[in-house]
Amino acid sequence: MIIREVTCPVCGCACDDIEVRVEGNRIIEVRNACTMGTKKFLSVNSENRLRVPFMRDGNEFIEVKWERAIKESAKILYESNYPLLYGWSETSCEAIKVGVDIAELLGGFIDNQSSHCHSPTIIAEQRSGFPLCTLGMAINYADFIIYWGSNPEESHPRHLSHFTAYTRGIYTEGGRRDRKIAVIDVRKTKTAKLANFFFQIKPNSDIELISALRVLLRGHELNEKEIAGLKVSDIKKLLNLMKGCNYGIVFIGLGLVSSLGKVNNVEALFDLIKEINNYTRFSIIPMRGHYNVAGFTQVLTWRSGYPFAVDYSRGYPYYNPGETSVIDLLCRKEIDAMLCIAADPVSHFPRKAVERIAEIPLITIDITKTPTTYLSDIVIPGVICGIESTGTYYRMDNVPLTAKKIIDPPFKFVSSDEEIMQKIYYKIKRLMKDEGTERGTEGIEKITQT
Amino acid sequence: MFVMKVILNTGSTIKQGAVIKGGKKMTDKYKEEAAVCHVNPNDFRNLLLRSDKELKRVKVKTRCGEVVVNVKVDDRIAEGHIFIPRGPWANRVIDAYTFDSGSPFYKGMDAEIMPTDEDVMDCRELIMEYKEYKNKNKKK
Repeated sequence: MIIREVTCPVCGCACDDIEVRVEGNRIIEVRNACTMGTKKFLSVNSENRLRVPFMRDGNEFIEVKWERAIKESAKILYESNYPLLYGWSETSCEAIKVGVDIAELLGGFIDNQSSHCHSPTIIAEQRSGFPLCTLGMAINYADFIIYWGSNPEESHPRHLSHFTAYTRGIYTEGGRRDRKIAVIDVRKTKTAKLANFFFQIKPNSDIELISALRVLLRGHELNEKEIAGLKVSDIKKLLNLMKGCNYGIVFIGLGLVSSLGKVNNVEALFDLIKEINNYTRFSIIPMRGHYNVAGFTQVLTWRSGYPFAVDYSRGYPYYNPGETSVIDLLCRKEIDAMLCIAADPVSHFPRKAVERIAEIPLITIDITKTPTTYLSDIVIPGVICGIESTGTYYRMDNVPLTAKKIIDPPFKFVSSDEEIMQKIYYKIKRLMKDEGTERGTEGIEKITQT
Repeated sequence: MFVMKVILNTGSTIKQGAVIKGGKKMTDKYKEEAAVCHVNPNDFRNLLLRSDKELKRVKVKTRCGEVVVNVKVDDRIAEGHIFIPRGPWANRVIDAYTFDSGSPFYKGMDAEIMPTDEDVMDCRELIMEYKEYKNKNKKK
């Protein structure tokens, strides 16, 4: 059986034209997906897929029953003072909703991958406003595209062919001929090789280039010969390209966001783009990494008013990046238990943060064996949203998509990540009721009523 | 010993992405793709002149730690820069300070590289180190 128009559960592009051939409960063939997508679809058959819960016993892992894993997880979270619920970027919005409920119920922290990736972008959005558009505009209108500090050929492999350079839209019928691509980066990436223009800048000098562009845009001259490693004539060329196009889009990546200056880089770029809108239409789309990292921002903002790094320990939501964000919390050793869902912090956090993870009780919900599962006290197999369960996820341009269920999960106990989270939620409620420590919260019950 | 001052960038590569999305983090493939330091050809030549034997591995050192990784010559990297794909190896040397934004110093950090004979650690060995740390400092 061939299932068409499957939404891909890998990167922020969330391509919705994947075709999957299924036989029995196995995925046999994947069409249209990139290397990463294909590998993820086929990983459901692999021996690395987790199928039963495990618990740590000394240095060994022992197989346990689902009920026990859920009960022990709830107990760890309930008994801690400041638990952290981290992850969420590769699961459904429905599961995230229950996660926020648990954080509120426990008075803990909730955070996700955007906290250590695109957090400067989100903070800059709050400071300066967000000139966003959808990827539909990129397909149909954009004739000038800048990849600033992003390298989609490696991180979002179908971005150029599906949304920008090689697609044909209403006003871009000529496809690649109708569009100009520029790449601004510190190294000549694979994307730079495909681009019409490549501007190689010095590391950590993005803000200098943005400031120079703003000076030139306002009609002043620059006295320097070279700024940010670029000749002034090159900067003028870039500005003329930006002013001269009909519709431009900047796709910003971690090269801009994570370099020195962080929030200030992004905020300066937002302001530049707003000024360029006096001449022509120009927008920005951040290259979000995971398929539902934007969904977490949406759900948490809807529930708490803040986009990431929310602290419920005061009884009301509190947000202060640098204080309540996950890396800082771990480095200051403030949290004393962690639930990690659909994430691998042991691989992707700096060493100092991982050392704290190793010290505290850790519950992991994941689909395969990762370095994080090896450090965990309880490992619960997750359900792959978009392959084994339905769910909502938000693409990088904040457009919600509904994922399809293609095959059944390899276990009967739960059918989605949402269900796992609900079971933990009710177990914690039960513990609170038994010990008479219930707090007033608007939990799932209230939300399902509305 | 000869030490070269460089700027360290980390980030995704398609092969590393395919390994982690395919659930193969605990296999040798991950080490092959992520425990690699991409170096400009000229910098590689300079390093080679200063090392006694053939140059296969380098030690990358920052103010936060050090890690041994394989060397790969890559003409896309500018002189004086190095690139390590994101993963547990790169993150051993990344500064956790977030400049009040939540995002650590993944790009543009000062680093030093030097030729070395030491072996590249396996993913399992890296975890074992944290595991020992866990056993030693586990919260009671």
